[in-house]
Amino acid sequence: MRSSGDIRPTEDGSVVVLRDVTKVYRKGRVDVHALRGVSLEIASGDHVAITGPSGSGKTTLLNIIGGLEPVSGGRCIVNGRDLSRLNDHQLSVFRNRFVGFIFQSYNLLPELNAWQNVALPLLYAGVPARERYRKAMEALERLGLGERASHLPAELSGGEEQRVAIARALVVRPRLVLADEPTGNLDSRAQAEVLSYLKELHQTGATLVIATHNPDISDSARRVVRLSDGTVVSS
Amino acid sequence: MIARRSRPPGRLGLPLPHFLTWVCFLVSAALLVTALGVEGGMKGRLEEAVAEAPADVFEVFREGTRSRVLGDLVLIEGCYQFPLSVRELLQELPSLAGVAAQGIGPTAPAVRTKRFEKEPFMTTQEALDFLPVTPDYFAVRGIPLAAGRSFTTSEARDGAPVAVVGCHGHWWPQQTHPGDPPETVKISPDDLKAHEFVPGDTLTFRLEATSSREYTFTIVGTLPETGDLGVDGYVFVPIGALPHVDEPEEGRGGFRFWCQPHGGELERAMADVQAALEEYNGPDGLVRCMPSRISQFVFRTLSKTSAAGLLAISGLALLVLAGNLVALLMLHVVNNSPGIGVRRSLGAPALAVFGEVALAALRLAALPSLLGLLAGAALSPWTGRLLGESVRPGLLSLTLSAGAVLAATLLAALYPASLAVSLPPGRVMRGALPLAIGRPFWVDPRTFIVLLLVAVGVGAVVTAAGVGRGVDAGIEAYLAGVGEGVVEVKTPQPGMGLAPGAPSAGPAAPLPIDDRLLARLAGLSGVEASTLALSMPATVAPGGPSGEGGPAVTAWVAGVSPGYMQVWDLRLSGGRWLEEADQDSPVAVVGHSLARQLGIEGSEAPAELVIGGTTFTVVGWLEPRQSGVLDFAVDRDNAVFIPHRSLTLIEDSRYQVTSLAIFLRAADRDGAGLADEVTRFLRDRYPGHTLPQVRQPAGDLSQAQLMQRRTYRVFTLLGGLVLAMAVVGLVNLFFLRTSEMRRQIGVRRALGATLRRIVLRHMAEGAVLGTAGGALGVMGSWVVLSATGRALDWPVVLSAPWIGGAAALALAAGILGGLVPTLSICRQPPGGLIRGRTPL
Ligand SMILES: Nc1ncnc2c1ncn2[C@@H]1O[C@H](COP(=O)(O)OP(=O)(O)OP(=O)(O)O)[C@@H](O)[C@H]1O
Ligand SMILES: [Mg+2]
Repeated sequence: MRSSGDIRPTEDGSVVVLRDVTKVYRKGRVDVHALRGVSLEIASGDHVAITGPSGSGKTTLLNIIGGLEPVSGGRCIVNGRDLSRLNDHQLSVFRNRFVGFIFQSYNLLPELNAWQNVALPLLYAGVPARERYRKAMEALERLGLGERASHLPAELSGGEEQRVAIARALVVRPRLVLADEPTGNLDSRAQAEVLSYLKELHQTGATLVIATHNPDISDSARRVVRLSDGTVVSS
Repeated sequence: MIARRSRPPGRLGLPLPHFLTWVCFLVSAALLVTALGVEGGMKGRLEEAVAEAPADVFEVFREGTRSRVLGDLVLIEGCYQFPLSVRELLQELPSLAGVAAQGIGPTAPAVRTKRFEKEPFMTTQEALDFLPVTPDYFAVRGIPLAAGRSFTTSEARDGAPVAVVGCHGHWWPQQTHPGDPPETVKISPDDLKAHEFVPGDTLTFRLEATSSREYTFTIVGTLPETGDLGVDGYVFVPIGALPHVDEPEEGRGGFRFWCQPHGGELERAMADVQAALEEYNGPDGLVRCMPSRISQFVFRTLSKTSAAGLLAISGLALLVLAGNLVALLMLHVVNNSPGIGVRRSLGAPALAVFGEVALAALRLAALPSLLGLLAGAALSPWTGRLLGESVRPGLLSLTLSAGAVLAATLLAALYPASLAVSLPPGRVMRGALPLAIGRPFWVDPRTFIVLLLVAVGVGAVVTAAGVGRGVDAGIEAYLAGVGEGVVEVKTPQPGMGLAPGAPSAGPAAPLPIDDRLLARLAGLSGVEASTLALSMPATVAPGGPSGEGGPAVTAWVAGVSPGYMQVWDLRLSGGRWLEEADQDSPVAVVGHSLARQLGIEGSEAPAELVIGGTTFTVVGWLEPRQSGVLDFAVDRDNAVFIPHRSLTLIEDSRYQVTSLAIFLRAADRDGAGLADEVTRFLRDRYPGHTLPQVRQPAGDLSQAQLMQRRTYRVFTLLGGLVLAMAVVGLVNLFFLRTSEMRRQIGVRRALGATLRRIVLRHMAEGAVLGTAGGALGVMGSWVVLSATGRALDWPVVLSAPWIGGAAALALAAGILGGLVPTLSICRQPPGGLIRGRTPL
């Protein structure tokens, strides 16, 4: 399914279009409104930082854009497709080929070593084993982790883990990279490294959406979207 | 990081596994109570069966020795070819622990016929048989004296010349049937009746060997006519009163012991007597042991295996339960690992951790166990009906069951607790215990547990079905050997109905079992074949020029009519069977072992046998008895069959017929129907007679077969219950594992893993687990089946449909276990799964 990997911006060139998106979590009898009508367009190749206080809905927003969570209301069109219209299989393929995720807490699979973690999306894309290894190693080496390839996540430092997570997000050369607090647990030096990788990535033409509290990261973004209590306060 | 979520107090892990384990506790407790209750019921049932069962099946076959159990009386009779001192044995037997009293009568072969002149009543000489007996002989056999008394202890000790006289008249003299023309074929004069003797009379006689010397005995008692009790016509004297009578010639002879065990401890008495005999007989003497009354055997074997089976199944259920609980408690420990770690680092001992885990387990176990115990007890009448047994759970079974459940619960807490204790507190605190996370399923210790559970479940079903089939096949083989359709007509057994205090036989004359009756019964519509069978032990030696000087052995001589072969399905290995035309001729067919012993096995030249001084021509040889075939009439391998009228040719009056019966083979194997028909016929045709006993030797077996079939069907169902519990364990494991792995599943989904891919993977894990468990279970049950089959002499039957069914169920459970929880998790959006929250 090559098509889902191709960039299909809408007429005005936006790769992500959110229209009046709401997200309600039901927690017992209480409804938590994580997003209250967010409308947003992100142009292809853009570099957007999403900021806002804790609990403002940043992660929720990224999850929705990445097809990890359905909207409660409104529409989320990514790459010209309304995500709520995709079936589970199509969504899986979309996540696999089009989106690269960098999670707030790395989320490496602890039973797999570094290169196996990186190769995971390739596995799901049906890439042959030899090719998977080659590409995963290539990605790890680019992030300076060539010698760490056969280490388990538990044997890596937080910064290294995050770099493995970045390598995993980049290995399929996604057109849309969603990074949730990519520098959350890192010291300033590691932060700087991660930042430079993300910039490099952006230069290859990928669209970059980063949720962050870190002013360094939001400063380097071309555009900053501010969320507060589930609504966009400035963009 | 393990985040704790508020849970209802007392709940272990997820609601579904918690609930399922709860149910398992209920079921196991109920099963245990029932199993322990049933055992009590079976014991009662066994006692009833023993009390009711007809008492005439041989207990032990020995070379020339057999014993019978007659109610609470043991008769050991036979012939011996070993240096046996009857007196020595006599002195020994009463000292045996299990034997309360014993009478002994070396039967005819040990007793030489003595000639005597009875004066003043008789001038003619007559042969009388003397039986040396102990004073309590009559009491032991339950024969009340008609007049006078038995010997006193001092008379017995001194061998005083005193005698008790039995009523004269043998079974052999024919009597007229009512309505038949008067025709009496009597060998001995009928004018010498015991009642003509009065206690105080004297009996004077000469022994042939010392004809110059006269013996005078004082008659102290007389016996009534007893019919077939084997005492009529004998003169009973104290042991030692006639030394020549006591000591057999050449260490060869016959004997009978009647033993009355202490307080009905039949088995013990049997064992003691047999041990004593074995000492004389030597190790080679024992040919084979046979069950005592078949019903007793079957009921005993069945009830023992049933009780054992039920207990085994409940034990397995408990095991499965414990396995389930272990998996659940491991989750509990994982969930509480921060708390445990903190407490450990504050100095809490390992015991405290165990206590905490055990408490959690007990909180789960308490209510369902209690309910299960009560339900098991309350439902006992119903389960009793289902099992065909009386189920009587008493306080003891309730206590034992409760104890077993408690023990299983506490044991289950051990492993999870040790898991938490084995790691340094610091690591436990940081939640280093997650089990599924970071481990492939085959490394997860719970996988191993569940594997065993499934194996146990599948094994339970396959074993129960296999044992049932095996026992069934065993009984089937017996039935085939016994001849399902054979009906036996014989005189009531000695010792039954003539017990001391019971009214004596009374005026009703026993209906003789003879040719005439045979002819009448053979004419009944349901009869396919019929025969008369008389048997007695006698010395048999090869005769003729070829057999000069061959060994003499003691064997069973059976006088039969030609139909015997068909009735008992005998097969010839050579020659021919007895025919109508043989009537009074001295011809014989020899059994396999006997022929070999005598060295006339399959000989081409016409062989000859000398039985009691008469030469018989061997016309046929029998095939050996097949394994599993029971001989109810005569041990065919060690018998020589002659036409029953030819028995009169055997001149030696030392030999006495010990059993007499008519056997009928029913058409269409309908033995029960024929037995009814015969009973009806006898009742209508011979009113006012003491009627013979009519029974089916195989009847108890058929009944036992029905009973065992039902029992094992229930067992297999219960095995299924264990399997169901194992399946619960498997599903539980997958629920726990999958929910532990939510986050990883979420990550995989986020990276593009399709639903199908993840579900398939988990289903494959389940399938592997189910298949491996099933295979393990089948292998285990094969081991158990071969062991029990060999130990209890049953065929090992691995029942393919049950194996298939159980394995398929295990596989299906594995697949479902992989599918259901995974699907339910994958239905949630991956975003929710990933968000740092473990759901446990
Ligand atoms: N599964 C859920 N169930 C209930 N409420 C949820 C769930 N996920 C998120 N929320 C709520 O939705 C709101 C937005 O959460 P979200 O994670 O998007 O915030 P955030 O801006 O990423 O915060 P942070 O900066 O701390 O990561 C929060 O109030 C949160 O409690
Ligand atoms: Mg967030």
